[in-house]
Amino acid sequence: MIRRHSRRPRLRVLGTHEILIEPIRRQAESDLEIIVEDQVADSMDAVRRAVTAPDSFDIYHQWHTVDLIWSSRSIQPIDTGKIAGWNEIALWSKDQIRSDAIGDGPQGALFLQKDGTLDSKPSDRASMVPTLHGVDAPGYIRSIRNRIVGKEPDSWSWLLDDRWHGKVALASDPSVGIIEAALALESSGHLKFNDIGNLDEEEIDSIASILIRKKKIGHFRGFWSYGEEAERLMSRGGVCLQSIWSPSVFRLRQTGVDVVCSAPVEGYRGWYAGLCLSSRVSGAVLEAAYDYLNWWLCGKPGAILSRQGYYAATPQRARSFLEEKEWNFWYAGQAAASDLVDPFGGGCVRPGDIRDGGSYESRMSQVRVWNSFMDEQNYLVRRWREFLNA
Amino acid sequence: VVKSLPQKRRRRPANERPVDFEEPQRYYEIVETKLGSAIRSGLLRAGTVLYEAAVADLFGVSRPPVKRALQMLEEANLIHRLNRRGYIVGPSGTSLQPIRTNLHRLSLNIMEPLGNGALRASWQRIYEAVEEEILSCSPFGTFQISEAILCDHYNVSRTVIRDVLNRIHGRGLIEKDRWSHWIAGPLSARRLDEHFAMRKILEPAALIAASGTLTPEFIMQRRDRLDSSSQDLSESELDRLERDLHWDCVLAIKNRRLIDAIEQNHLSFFINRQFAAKICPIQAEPLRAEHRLVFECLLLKTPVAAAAALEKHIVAAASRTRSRLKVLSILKDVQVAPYLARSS
Repeated sequence: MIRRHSRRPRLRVLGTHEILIEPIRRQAESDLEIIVEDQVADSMDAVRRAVTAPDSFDIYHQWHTVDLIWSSRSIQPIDTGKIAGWNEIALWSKDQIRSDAIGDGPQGALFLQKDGTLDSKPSDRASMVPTLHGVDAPGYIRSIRNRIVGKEPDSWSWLLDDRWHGKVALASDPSVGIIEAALALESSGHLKFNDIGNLDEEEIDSIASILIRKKKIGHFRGFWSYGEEAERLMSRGGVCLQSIWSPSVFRLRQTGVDVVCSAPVEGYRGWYAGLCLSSRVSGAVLEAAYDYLNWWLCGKPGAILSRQGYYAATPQRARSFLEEKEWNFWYAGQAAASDLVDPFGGGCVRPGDIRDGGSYESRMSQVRVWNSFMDEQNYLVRRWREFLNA
Repeated sequence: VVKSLPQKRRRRPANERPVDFEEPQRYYEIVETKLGSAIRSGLLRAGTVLYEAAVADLFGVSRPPVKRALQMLEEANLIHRLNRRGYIVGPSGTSLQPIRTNLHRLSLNIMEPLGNGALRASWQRIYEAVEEEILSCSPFGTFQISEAILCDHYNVSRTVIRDVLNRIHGRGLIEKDRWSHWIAGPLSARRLDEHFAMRKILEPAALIAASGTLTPEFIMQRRDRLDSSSQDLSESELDRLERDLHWDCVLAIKNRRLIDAIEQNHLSFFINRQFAAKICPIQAEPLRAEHRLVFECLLLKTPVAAAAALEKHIVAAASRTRSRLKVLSILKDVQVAPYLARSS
C-alpha cells in the first residue's frame, strides 16, 4: 500500500498540540519516507489558518471544523476508494450511543453529496478521514472532591456551582466552552435548551449573561487554550475543577497531581478528529498525502495516541500495536496489570489503576452531545469573547 | 465601558472632513456663495433689502442656514444690518435708500446647486455611507457607536446624526443598550434567516409585477453577462450578478413601498460580499444556474414560473449564506470606522 519515493516529499501538517506530537511525526517519517513538517497551533488559530491560508498547509488534522472549512473551500474531497481500512472506521452512529444524545458524530458531514453539500449519506468522496475520537468531561482533584460535594455523583453542574467558587477554570475555545457551560446550566436546572448542540440567539445570550456575572464575582480562576495551560492551572494555579482533555489528566498524574476525569451523570461531550486535504494539494505531494492518510488508519498512530487516552478510528488495528495490558487498561476498562507509559515514555498509569468512566464502549456510549460548529457560531464567538474580556 | 473612544476622538481635529468623503456644499454655503457673487456682479444692487424670510423662501431652505449665510456676508462687509429682520446690500456706513424688490424676479441661477442633490436633506447625504460602515462591523462583534465622533467624522450636527441612526435603527441594524448607547452587532444567523424569509415572500411577488416592463433585450443582456462570468466570483463580480437580477429585474416596479420593504432585507447580499472580500471568491455555481433559470422563465414570458425559480434560489442562497456567516466567525480583528469602538 505504501509507495516509496526516490525523493522524499515534504508534507506540511496543520493541527493542534494534543495530536501533532513528536512521536507521531517521527513514526510517520520512518514508515513513509516522507518529511513531515508539523504546524502546531491552538484549535482556534488552526482553523483560522485553514480558512484564510489553505496554501500554507497540505493536510489539516482538524476536529469538528469540517463543515466550516468546506464552506471556505479550503479542502478537497478525499477518494474513499484510495483509503484502505475505510470500512473499518468506527463512526459511533446514533444507535450506538445514549438516546438523548445531540448532534452528529464523525459521520455527520462526512460525505460529499451531488449538490456539493456534506451529509452523512455515504458516497465515494469524503470530507475527511476520521482518525481519533473520545469523550471529555470536567476533571477535578481527587482529594478535595468529597470535602466539597460529598458523595454526590459527578455532574457538569459543578462547573458553575458556588461550592467550587474561585477554583474553576474553563476552556477558552468558544465551541467547546459554550457546550460545557450549557451542560452545566442544564444539569443544574438553571436553563433548558431546545437543542443543546445548536443553541439559538436567546439561549446564547442567557448563557453569556450568567457566565459574565459569574466571572465578575470571581467564580473562575482561569481559562486555557491548550493542554499545557490547563495543566499549569491545576498544578500551580489553584484550580481544583476544570474542563480538561485526556492527555492533561495523565500528564498531571505523572507530576503527582491526582486528577480524576469525571463521569458525569448527564453524559459526556463527544469529540472526533480527522484528516483533511488542502484544496491546493496536487501531484506528488497529493500522492504522499494519501499515503499519510492511509498510514493513519494502519493502527500505529492510533496506538500511540491511545496511550494518552484517545480512541483510534480503527481500534482493532490499533490493538495490534498495543500490548495486551495496554489494551486492557485503555479500551477494556480493566485494572492496569503493571505500569503503563504515555506516548513519550513517561509512566502515567500505576498498577491497579482503572480508567475513569470504564471501557471504550461504556464511555463512548455515554456521549450526551457532540462538539459542533453551531448555526449561530458567529454570534456565539462574539458573545464568548465578551465573556472572556469581561 | 469603552476606553478607546476619547483617544480616537483626539486623533481627528473637529471639523476636519475625511479625505475620501466627497461632500456636497451645505445650505448656508450655497446661500452665501450665490448671494455673494450676485452682489459682486451687481445683480443685487446696493440698497436691495434682504429679509431672512424672503431669502429662505427663495432658496427653499429653513431660516438658520440663511441667517448664518447673511452673517457671513455681513462679516465680509458686503451687506449690513437694516433692522432686526433683515439686511441691506452694501458696506456698512453707507446710507442707502432701501430698495424692496421681489427676489424671485432676479435671475440668481440658484437651480444649478439645488438640482445636483446638494439640497438633499443632510441625513440622506451620509446615510448610505454610515449604514455600510455599520454593516461592515456587525458580523464581527459588539460595537458602540460614538455620536460625537460620528459628528466629527462627517462634519455634521448631532441632529443629523441622530436622524441617521434612528433610520438605521428602523432597519433593525442597531439598538440601544440599557445605558442608551447605540450598539451594532453581533449579527446572528437568526437575523439573517429573517431577512431571507422576508425576501422569499416579497421578491417573487415583485418579479411578477416587474415582468411586464422587462424587455427581452434587457433580460438577455443580463443572462449573457451571467454566462460569461468567471467560475470564481470576486466581490465586485458577485455584486454585478446580484444586481442584474435582484435590483434591475426584481425592483423594476413602481410600488415604492414594496421596493423599500425589499431593500430593508438586503443584509444577505452584504454577508456574501464580505465573504468574497475576506475569505475566498464565491463559487459561481449553483448561483449561476439558479439565476439563469429565472432569466429563462422571464424570456419565455412565464412570470409565475420565474417567481417560483426565484423563490427556490432565495431558499438555497439562505442556506449557503448561513454557512458563510459561520465561516466569518473565525475572523477577529477587522478594520472598522473610527466612530465604532468594540465594547467587548
